Amino acid sequence: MPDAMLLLGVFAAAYLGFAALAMSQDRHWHHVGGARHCPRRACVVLRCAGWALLIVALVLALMRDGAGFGSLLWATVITVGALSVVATLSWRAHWLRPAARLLQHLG
Amino acid sequence: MEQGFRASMNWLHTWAGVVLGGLLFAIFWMGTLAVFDREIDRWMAPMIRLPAVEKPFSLESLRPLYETAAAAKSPFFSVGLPTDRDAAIRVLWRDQSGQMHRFIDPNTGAVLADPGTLAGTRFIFPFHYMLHIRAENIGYWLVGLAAMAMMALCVSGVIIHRKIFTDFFTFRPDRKPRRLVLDLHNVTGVLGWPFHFLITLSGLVIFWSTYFPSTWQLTYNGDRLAFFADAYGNVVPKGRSGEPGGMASFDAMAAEARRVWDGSALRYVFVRNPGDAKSIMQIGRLDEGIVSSTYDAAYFDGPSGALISYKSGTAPVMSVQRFLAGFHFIQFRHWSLRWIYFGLGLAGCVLIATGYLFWLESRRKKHAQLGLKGVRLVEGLAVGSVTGMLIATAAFFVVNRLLPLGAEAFGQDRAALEVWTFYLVWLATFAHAWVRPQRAWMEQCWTVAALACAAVLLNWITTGDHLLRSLSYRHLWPIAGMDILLLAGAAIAAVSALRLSRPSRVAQVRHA
Amino acid sequence: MQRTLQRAGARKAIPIIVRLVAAIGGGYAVSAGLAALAARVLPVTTAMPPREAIVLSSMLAFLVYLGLLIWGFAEPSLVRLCLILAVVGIVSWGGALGLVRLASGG
Repeated sequence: MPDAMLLLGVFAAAYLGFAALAMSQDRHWHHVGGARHCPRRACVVLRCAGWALLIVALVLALMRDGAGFGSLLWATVITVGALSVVATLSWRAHWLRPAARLLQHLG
Repeated sequence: MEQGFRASMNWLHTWAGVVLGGLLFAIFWMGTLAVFDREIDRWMAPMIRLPAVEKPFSLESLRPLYETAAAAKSPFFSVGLPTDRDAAIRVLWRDQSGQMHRFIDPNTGAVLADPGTLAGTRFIFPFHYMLHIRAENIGYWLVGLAAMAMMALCVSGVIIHRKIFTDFFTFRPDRKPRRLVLDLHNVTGVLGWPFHFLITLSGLVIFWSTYFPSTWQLTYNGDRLAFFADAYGNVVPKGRSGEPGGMASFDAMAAEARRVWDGSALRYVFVRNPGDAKSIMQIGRLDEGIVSSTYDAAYFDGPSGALISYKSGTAPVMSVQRFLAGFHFIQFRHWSLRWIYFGLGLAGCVLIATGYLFWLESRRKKHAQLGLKGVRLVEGLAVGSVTGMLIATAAFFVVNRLLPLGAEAFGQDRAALEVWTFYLVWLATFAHAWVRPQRAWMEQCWTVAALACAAVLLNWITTGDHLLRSLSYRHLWPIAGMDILLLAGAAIAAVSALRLSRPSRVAQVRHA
Repeated sequence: MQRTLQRAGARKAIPIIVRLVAAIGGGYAVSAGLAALAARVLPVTTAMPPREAIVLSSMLAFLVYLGLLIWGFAEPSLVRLCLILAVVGIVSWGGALGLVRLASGG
């Protein structure tokens, strides 16, 4: 069971990390319901959170499978996570709307 | 040929893609399928849909088969031991009629009926790395050339992609087809870049001694055996003695091998010169828990059963090569990674196909204006290489379920008939694309969908392992997986065909 | 008109063919030569055993070939491309074969 949880954790961290990085870009910020430009504060928070989450994904992967498999798992899962974010932005952009609305207030 | 770095990289990317796109798609497609080659074996050879072994298997029960191989003067006798993915034992040797391949039930020791198919491990997997063109290693060299081109495509692709970070997550499915195809090409290419590049490089590194022989040939004077003996610790008998020799206890030698490796599991048993006084048994180590593909082997003198030497541990540079090889072969036990590789492999196929499609679409008007004769040929090649390859694969699976065991025709055995079907159907798809250029893509998508559904249905009819049944037994999960993927593929093909049949799309095609 | 076009086409094709041969064929020959040289030089200059040097040189050769391919198509001057490939090829192969001759007591 812990294996499955950790795997889910790696994917979730990768997905959320890339979602944050995507939203920090003007085009996608606007696409998920924000203003034309991503406000500076929100952009900084998103970028930091994004990279941090990608590192969390790496740590979880190493914890689950050790150095060899762990690094392989991370490197491949982040691609899967990034592709999932692309799919979300293309077809289910409204999933990310609450996050955008929340961060908008940071201004 | 134009001026400017970016322009020259654009030229390289375009022409390498156009000329080698079809070959690259075939290699990537077969490679993606080969991720599940043993599972495909199980689907195509129903007699090996066996549950995992309960009790340890005694290798002595293989002695009758060994004696058969020895009597036939086979140069080798090979045994593939069961693993997590493979319950059955695979035995291989050669006699006058060619290669003899048999499966053994590990629970009973019984020799199973000849499945009469090359399936995943002997057709799909070798197609991937040598295209089944054995003459002068031409197949290997073509794949090598394609792989170098792939790396050049990856590098040039990044160079010509102007807004690589701005467009990192950009995919606009609501736009015009050409924009959609380019977006998809960029997304799969950029996000999957590390995987595509490394899987290509690692594939080449596996065959380094074939592709860059200058390094070892100069030092070892072209003596390949001497080099392998030095680098991999291979122990090979120097020719046959011509005198008959017995073979000591298989189990004793296997036990000794396990002992020197602290109880590690075994992967294979390989006897050179079976039945000869100069026979050598090579036992390979199995380590499904590491990424690296281990070369560890123990060598025994056949008649006496004495341990000659064994290999444990690898030198630093060789370890890197083994890691890269293991990264590519994925013979380790890690199911999540296996599925991820499959998904990323499909992304690679999408990358190559969309690249090809984008080029066709963006040149369509210009080509129509110029009235170039070669355009129809290139379009035909594109369709045949992409959807045609998918149709040929599906036909391979369908004919496997249709042919009865032991079938023979035109002097070809059952396995050869399946292969003939693959190539003839593939050829037919090129012909179809040539004859009906406007509707080729759409019609071939429908054909893929139909054949994939037929395969699932035929599996049910001929083996009784329908989805509900295969999902309920652990040893049948690979069958369920294959059926589910076939149905998913059929669905995607059908949706693509529907999108392609929309009037606006057909009008656009007819315009050209 | 047709014949002028055909001649122009041929004139455009020759530099492209030369570049393809130089970049793909020449690039391969040079990478193989550099790998052969490295495989002989590394055991002498470092403590690396020959069989390790062989594997390392061969693995790096793929990346060297990739670099030569990119440069082969990016280099604007065809003459410079062929010249440099020829010189490096001769030096590396000559060096490698020379070292082999030396080692075997030539």
